[in-house]
Amino acid sequence: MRVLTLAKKEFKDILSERIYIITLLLQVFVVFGIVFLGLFYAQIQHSITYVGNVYVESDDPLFLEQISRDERINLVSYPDRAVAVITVEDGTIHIEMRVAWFTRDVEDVIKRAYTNMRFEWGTVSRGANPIFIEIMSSLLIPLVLLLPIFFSMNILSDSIVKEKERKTLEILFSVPMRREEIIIGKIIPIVVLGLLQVIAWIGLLSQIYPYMYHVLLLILFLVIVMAFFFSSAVAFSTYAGTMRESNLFLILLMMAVTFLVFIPFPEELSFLCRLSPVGGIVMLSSNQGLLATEVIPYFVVYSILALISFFVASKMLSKDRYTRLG
Amino acid sequence: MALSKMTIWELKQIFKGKKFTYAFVIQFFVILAIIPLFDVYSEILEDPQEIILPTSKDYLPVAISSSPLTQVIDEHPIFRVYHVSEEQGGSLLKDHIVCCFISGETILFDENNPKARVAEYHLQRLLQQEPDIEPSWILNERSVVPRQQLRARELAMREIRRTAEMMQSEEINYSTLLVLLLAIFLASGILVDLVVSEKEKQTGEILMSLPVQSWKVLLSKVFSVVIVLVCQIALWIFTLYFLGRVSSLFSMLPLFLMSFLIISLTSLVSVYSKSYKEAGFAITVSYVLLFAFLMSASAFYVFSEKFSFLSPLSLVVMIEKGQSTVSGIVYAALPVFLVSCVLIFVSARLYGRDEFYFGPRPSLFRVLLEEAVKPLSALLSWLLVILLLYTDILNGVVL
Repeated sequence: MRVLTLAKKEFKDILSERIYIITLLLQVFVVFGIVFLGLFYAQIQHSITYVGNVYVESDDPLFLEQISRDERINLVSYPDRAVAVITVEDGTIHIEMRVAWFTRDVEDVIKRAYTNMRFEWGTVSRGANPIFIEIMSSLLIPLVLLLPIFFSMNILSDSIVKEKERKTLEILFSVPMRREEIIIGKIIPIVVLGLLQVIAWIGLLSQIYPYMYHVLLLILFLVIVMAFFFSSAVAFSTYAGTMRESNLFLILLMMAVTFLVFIPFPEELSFLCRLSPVGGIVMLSSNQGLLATEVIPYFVVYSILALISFFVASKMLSKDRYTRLG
Repeated sequence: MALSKMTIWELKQIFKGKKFTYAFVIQFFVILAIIPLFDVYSEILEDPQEIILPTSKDYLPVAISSSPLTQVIDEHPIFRVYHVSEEQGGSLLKDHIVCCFISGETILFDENNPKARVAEYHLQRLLQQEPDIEPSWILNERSVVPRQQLRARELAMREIRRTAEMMQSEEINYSTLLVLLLAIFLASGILVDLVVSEKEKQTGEILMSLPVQSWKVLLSKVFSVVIVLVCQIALWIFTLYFLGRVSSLFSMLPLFLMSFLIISLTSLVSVYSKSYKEAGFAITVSYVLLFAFLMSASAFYVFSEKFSFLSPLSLVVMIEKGQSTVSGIVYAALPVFLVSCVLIFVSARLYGRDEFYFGPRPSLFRVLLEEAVKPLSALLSWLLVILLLYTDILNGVVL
């Protein structure tokens, strides 16, 4: 009960800060900006390889089928406006190029069609640009979903360090509540706020980008990730003397965890980069079907990390030499 | 005299803090870690047709049962490969666990899975073999594509290649340049600390009551940070130089310019802001704006050399292209230097005003009006004349 009272008070405090509200609103732009970035990136990829209209006459239906799969060209039914005219007859290929600049690209298109003719291809329903799908689900969506967590982590550490700097933390500790309860009271509003944002962004994203799966599991995973990050934020800010210091620690932690994926580990250690929460989010949100053996490690690893960091945080809080300034 | 004394005092303050030591050590490790990271990116840029982001590793689940494609798919980082029997593959595909099942020479897709499209896209690029027959080529030039479209494409390709070259170039490694920005951020963090902490702890009021002009107080803070920064950058550059990452020390000149600009911007922001939180927020926003501007200005260089003087980054391009003359560099460096000086000047002026300590703080608009618009309107006519002359001279130099 007392925990809830504290949580309510903290929640009000957060919402009364103008900067937090501005940052919240800024995130909406970030979400839209990120989708735009994905589209832009996919468009650039497409346009630097795009050749243009090509007219093909072929007595080999396999060749025709393969060449029509190539997204770099647009097959047209009249040769007038075509960049290249390709004629396949009795096993010979004639190519008439109208724009010399594209010769190498057209050569590549033909090579690819010939290579892929050797395989029998199943059907795939048409949809969004594959590059867009790839970059959205493997990079941009995880970043959008981690953003509110990082942001909330900062609010949490601010609120602890501020109490420390103003010496109100000691007063708070003299209240007949256990220290863990105080911390939980501080974490609850942050988790609620973070969760609300995560849900809002998932809702918003699924309107723009319809290929997100296992939303409930994803939210559960993010809650566990939050538990880990928020308890470590408590530990860091209890240790840090000033707001600046705690912010520095937190930024480093965030970078270390997020950019774990970007570090080129040697082959034997490559499992390490899968441990980043980015990997878990990608796995959960992008796959239609999941194998339990692949998903459970993420939950186990982050649950253990969350427990350890909660334990460390509560141990640190119980020692007065960390909670007092100086 | 007072200035040098105060600078030394501030320097002592900086080095006494644990924070600086920590940040310094951490920075060192970050620099060591980032270098291989950028090497990976320059490799990616080498072949812009095939970009596999590190986050896309194992992104596409694919089942294979004895196929000529097995080896090449195993080697491709984007695929997460399940080696299975015919039956297992079928059931994996049915449960949507894999997006594609390759059996022998047949490729089956999980039709409505968005990943199947991505898999198809990558599979199509997997093999590249010569056709069995020799194609015959005829060139018959006709204007089927609008010239503008061709030109735009050429420009885009050139830009991509240029970025790739810049990231790999031996003389000026863009990656190391970015790495060195870390030192600048640390220094600006210290500056915010020095200025804003005095407000938060209300020790600034005591400083104001000292028989020292307030601009000297601010300048001593800025100088001490600049000294720390210069030492640090010099240290990193020499380290990188001995590691063989930088071969021309000269090309690091723009970095010093950039750091001066960032420090002066930081000093203005921290003089204006009331608390850490505000300063942090304002600094993040202003850095993003600053970088957007600097980057776009250097992109101007591609289109017209005339605008390039707006960004010190274009200096990098200039030096790299071997077009640098002493006067050319001076003209390219001057605007940034001048802007930084103006920023320092304005922040020193604002620091002297009591409102920024005791409140009520004037609104941003008001400050802008008083500090910028009034003197600017007086200076504008002069500036116009100077600018005209300046572009003329620059033209002469570049051409």
